Amino acid sequence: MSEVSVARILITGTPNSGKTTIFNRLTGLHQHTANFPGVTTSVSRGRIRWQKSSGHCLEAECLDLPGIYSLYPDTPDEREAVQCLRHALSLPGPQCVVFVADPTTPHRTVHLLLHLQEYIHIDLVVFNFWDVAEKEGISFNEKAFVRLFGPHLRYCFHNPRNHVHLRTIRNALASILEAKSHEPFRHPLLQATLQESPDTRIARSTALYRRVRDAANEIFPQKTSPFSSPINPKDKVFLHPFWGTLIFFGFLFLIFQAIFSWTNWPMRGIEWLFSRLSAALHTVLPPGPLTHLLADGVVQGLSGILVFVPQIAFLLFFLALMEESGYMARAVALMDRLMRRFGLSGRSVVPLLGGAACAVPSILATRSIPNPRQRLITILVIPLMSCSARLPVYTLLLGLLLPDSKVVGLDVRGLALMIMYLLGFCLAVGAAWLFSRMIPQGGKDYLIMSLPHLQRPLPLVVLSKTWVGLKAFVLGAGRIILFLSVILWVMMHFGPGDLGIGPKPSADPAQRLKESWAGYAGRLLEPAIRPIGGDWRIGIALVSSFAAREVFAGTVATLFPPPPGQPLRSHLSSLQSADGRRIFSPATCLALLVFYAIALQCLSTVATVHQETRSWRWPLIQFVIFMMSAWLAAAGIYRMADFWGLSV
Amino acid sequence: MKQRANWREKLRNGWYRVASIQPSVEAARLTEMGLAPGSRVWIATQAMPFGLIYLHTSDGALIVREEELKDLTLEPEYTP
Repeated sequence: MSEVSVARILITGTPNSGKTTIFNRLTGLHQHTANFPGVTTSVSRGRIRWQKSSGHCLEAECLDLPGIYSLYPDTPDEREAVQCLRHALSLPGPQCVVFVADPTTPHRTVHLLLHLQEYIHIDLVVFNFWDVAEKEGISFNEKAFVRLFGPHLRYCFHNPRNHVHLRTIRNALASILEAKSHEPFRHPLLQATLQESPDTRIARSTALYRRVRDAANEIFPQKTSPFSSPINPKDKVFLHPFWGTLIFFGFLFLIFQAIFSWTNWPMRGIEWLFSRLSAALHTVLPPGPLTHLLADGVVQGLSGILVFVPQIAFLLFFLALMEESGYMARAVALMDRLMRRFGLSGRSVVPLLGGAACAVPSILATRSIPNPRQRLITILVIPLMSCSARLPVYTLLLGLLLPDSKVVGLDVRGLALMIMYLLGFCLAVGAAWLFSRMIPQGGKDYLIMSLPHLQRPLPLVVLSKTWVGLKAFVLGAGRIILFLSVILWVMMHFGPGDLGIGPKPSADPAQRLKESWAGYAGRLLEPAIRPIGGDWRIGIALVSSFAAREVFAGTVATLFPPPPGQPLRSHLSSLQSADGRRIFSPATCLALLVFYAIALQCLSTVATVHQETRSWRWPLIQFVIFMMSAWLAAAGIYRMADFWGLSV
Repeated sequence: MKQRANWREKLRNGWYRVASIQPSVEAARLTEMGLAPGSRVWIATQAMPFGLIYLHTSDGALIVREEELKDLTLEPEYTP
């Protein structure tokens, strides 16, 4: 099949109707899903293949579109969905439009389906969450459905909690695509809908709702008491200004306690495993530079990163729990007023909280913010939220700074980690306030948010999301640290003397390191690093973490390799510089913590900000402001700590 | 008795019917989400996050800011 006539499946529907779950199951991909509206903010593409009994193979490109309420887009993600729908339908080749319907929102669903049918041909309706609908007493009246949409509109049911209906959907798609030889139904008004005024939109919606109101009740009859309070009792607690806020912060507190208290044993296990591996390599391989590179360069570097896997797994696990349970939308509501005071919107909360995992997808998630100014401010401050890449750095430095002790049964390091995350949040809202003074007002802001059902998260879904996030972390950071540890090892073990353009290589390891390429590069950086309490080696670790923050831990492990059998942290805390001061003194650790909390050391984030703002101006402003602030704040903290005698 | 809903006037918890809508972008989105004229809605203002109103339509729960309802005229139907 040629590129221009490829078969295409377009998945559309209202936000949070489960389109991406179906897309993932059909294509075998792992696009991010969550139980709140506005998760899919860009079009995802995948492939579906059918092997026919005749040996013939049918293949189609599958497009998962962001959710929409109508063809009148208000936010960048809705605009992308409508534009993609319009563009895809103008291409040649068989097309199949799948409408994913949530029967627990019958009026919205029927309204959008009728609205779309005015402009495009819908081929298949998938009634998703049918298990939830049945629990709510909703049933399906086939006659009423056929009366409203005609006998040719195919439909099937899907339950995200099992795969029973997936085969039905696959078979229906295959038969629709095979039967389709005609051009898709297209309407010239699809272009015009993008420019409708509010009056026209309301008039159209109101007229449509007159048809929808009775029809939806007839298609999805539900037994409910007409005058009972429908508010979910759990929402009375989760949304309560006092209890809700207490639960929110209590949940955050639990996460950070868990990250430190529950991960001690697996982390020690990983450290032990790598120290054994390093010792085994020294034993098995013949002595020489290659053995040294593998055992002390690569293995130490990887150990410096992989030791933090349990902590990142816990962070990702708790974030997945919040997303899947539907709690995240409640957090948005709780934080709206606070966010607005700082020039943000309640909708900024989801990207900001998502920033605790990774800034890149969180910046894309801002596409659901309708106000361009609030969206820009959210994009600019997201990198200040403490992402999972900062976690290894914080854990390492807090481990050096604080004793492994408990206060009132609470892990001291866990409390300090929570303070670091709260510091990130405070810095983000503070920066938002400053940016809101700099960026002129513009655009309409509103908060109208559909609250998803509160549900018990599926363990498999939560674990799968944790695994996908963890894999991305390990592969992403692992590749970089593998590359950097080799480069660093070469720089640390060779110098100008080996090329005959400097002093002869010394036999003393400390002197040899000083005269290596890394030593020369580090001393060049030293004037900038000294004010924040670091020596030239810390300077190298700081520079290497511009590729990715988490690389700091791996680089430190490569630059200061612990003797076999000694854990990295206890080795680092005992290191002393020539003047007798500890290299990782409390003052240096504090300064580095502050530096990493503010600095923008993530090239992927800079690139994503450029892509989303469509200019280099904002990423450059962001980079310069954050880096300068980070250095100044770290230098200030070091000075203060030095004054209190913490630099020894 | 018709009641114009805006941030100055406190609504009591209860069932309301949307009587009419003044055109605006927010109102257009509200109609697309189920608050078209004639639709019934449960409104909860008490014990909600500051400045927000909890709405329960036939399509489930919505959270909106008080000012988002300024363009809606609501008719009380049942307030317990």
